[in-house]
Amino acid sequence: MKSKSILLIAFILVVIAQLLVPIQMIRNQEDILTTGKILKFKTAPIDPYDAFRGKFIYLDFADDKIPVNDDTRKLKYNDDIYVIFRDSSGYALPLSASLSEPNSSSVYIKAKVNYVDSRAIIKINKSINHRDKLHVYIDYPFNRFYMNEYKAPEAEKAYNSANRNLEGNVYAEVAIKNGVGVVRNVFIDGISIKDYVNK
Amino acid sequence: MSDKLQDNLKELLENKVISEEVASAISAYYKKTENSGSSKLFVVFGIIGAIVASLGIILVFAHNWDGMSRFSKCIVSFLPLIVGQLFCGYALFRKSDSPAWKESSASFLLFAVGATISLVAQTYNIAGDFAGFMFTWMLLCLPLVYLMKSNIVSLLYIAGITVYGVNTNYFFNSSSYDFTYWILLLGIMPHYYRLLKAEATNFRAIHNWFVPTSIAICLGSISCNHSNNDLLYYSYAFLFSCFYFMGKTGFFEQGKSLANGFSIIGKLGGLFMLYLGSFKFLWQDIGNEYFDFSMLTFVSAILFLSAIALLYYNRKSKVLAVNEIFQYSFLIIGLCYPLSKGVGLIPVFICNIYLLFIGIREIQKGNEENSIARLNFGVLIIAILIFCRFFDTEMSFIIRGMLFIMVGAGFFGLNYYLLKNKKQDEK
Repeated sequence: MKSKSILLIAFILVVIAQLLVPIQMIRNQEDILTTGKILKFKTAPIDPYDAFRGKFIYLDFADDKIPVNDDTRKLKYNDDIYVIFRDSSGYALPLSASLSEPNSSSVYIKAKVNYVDSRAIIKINKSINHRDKLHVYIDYPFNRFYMNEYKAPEAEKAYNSANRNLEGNVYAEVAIKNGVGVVRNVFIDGISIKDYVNK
Repeated sequence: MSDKLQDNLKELLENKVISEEVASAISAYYKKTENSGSSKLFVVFGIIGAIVASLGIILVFAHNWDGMSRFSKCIVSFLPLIVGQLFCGYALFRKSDSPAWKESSASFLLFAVGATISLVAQTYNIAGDFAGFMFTWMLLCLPLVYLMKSNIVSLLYIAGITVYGVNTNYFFNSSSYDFTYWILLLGIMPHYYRLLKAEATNFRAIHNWFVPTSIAICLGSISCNHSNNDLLYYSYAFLFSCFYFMGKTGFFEQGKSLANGFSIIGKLGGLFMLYLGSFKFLWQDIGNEYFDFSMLTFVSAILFLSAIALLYYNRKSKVLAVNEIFQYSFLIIGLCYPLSKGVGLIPVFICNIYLLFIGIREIQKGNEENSIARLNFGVLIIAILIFCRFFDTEMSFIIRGMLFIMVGAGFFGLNYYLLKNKKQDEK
């Protein structure tokens, strides 16, 4: 009987752990969506040869670079970086970057470095001050938007076509809080992409 | 009861072979088995119906997924998890004597955990990182191996952590090595040890393949953060020797030889490393690397010492005879390390000669044991060696042709000789 009680306790603990993980995921995301700062991120067309990824469209962003500074010039691919944004008429524009978490009053995202303009290293070694023209390129963590698998290919085509059309206004609406961003929706000319595809 | 059986019974009654009582008993017996057979059929059809209906429900949800609110999506995401947990609870406390119930419910729950996390991630467009997802998934399912005593979950866990290990260290260029895969592997060891202590089963045999394969796949990731990777060749050679020696111990040697994954992987892996070493390019490449103390150095040293300890243990237990040439492969390759720093051809020569001796020894043993499989294995070792030389050295076509003819003739001759001996023995 004692062993059965131990088994029961162990089973309950496992059940709780297995339920807690997705519940915690939901809590974190809901908190960001309801209390986070909403910003629009202008998107960029993706490489048309990128294969359809199944049930989501891949988002690429237009404002994905920040001028290099003394901290960021030594970074390499996949290093962590904190990107601080300013709100420009509802659109997010990268303002600066740091290696440590900024204070909570700033609107920032924890992202990954894609690459650092290699000329930054050469020019700095030669003590030529052209740093403000050299950039760190960022990979934002919110680069997927899940859709119905039959609609995602059409959505991706519509997304790319609108991005290439200079008059098209394509952006992703992202809720940001404490360095984490959650994509709420993707819009083409003010219409949600799910509705745009159904048109 | 079928018509044919009824007619047979009638015939037997008429010819007074059986009495009325016996005929009634036979008739009653067949009616009873038909009932239980038909009730089993209902169970099977019931299960199939339940599965098909469930799949239909899933498809309806999938079709309407886009139109569902986030709250509805979250509820649906949790359904497989809750159903799986209920099944596991039922299997654990009501069907504790049924391994089938425990295995199937635990397997279902393993996939349900992954499905729930994926569905929630999809609902909130969480890109996440695949390695993190695999880590969470496997960690949440490890307790099921012990709670449900599930071997299928254990095998899936080993596969899952291998995928995690590959993703974490092979595909990301981080500044430090992530040891988590090895810690996760330790997590399954108590269960594996329990399997080894129990009687031989198919699950144990499959584990004997999964565990060494997983280790062999993930060992290479230790070198990913280092520019100096020459020790990786030695690490693998020593690892395969360790596997071979472990396969020869009492834990693994009992039962069918195909069940001994450690021994087979150890031998084939060790031979592969020797074949690699028989090529000049390898020593030209790794011979020029400068020595740099790194984690790989430490791992190579540990594996070398482990191989020595296992060799000593096997020799003391008289599992391996002195003239079993293959057991010294790790020493031979270890010897090549200092030799490779000078003139690169000596290790090439050593590996070629050693492989030739291994092949000859296998042929000899095959002949002694009257084993055609072992004899052919020896010939195959030599044949592959010659095949490698075909593409490596600059031999004339005539010499290469003659060598191939000789090997082919050797295959035929040896097989003919052994078969002839076998027939004579049978007479």
